[in-house]
Amino acid sequence: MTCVHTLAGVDDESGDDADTGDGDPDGRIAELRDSEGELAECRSDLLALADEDVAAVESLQSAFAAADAVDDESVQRAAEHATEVPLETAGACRGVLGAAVVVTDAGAPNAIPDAGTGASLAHAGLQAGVWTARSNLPLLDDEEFVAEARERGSDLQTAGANLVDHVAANVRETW
Amino acid sequence: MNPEESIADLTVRELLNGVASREVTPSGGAVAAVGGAAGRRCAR
Repeated sequence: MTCVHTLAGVDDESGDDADTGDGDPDGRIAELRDSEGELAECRSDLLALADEDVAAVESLQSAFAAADAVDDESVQRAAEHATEVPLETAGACRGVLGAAVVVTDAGAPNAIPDAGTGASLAHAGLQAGVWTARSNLPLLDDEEFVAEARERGSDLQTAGANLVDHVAANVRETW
Repeated sequence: MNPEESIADLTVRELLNGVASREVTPSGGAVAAVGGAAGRRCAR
């Protein structure tokens, strides 16, 4: 929404192709156009991941119902998949946050709080993805998988916190 | 989205689609309300 409103305003002022020539000396409008496309891809990816997560949880529940023990191979594979999907979701949310930094750096001031809202929700999604993934780790026997998942989660949380702080600082500058 | 229907009664998938397709006007306030409703459904 911030991209749409900001770019509409730029196009209204300049007629067309505001991202070329003198209309965009520091390249911020071009970055905003890139972010708009990137965010559309993120939205599509996240909707697909929502479906994938539902399927992963259902598979895990089916594996639990059919297995004799947690260390059953089918449970282990299902739990690994149910860990991978939320980590991928958290990664996609990090992508949204990265784009939100660009958008709140360059967007129209009156639309920046909307980008801040989106970034806050994306940060919640990132956090939720990591929490969900970590909740599965005690089930898993593969220590290498567990260590890698734990590290990915920590890296995502650190990156997400830094990005959402940057977005929040940009939002505060509009007050 | 049917205006007579509370967003808190919709599934998370419907909420996500509502925002994605702009059935809900994607202002910050509207999106925050959808996020809150999704959270309510997940937490209950």
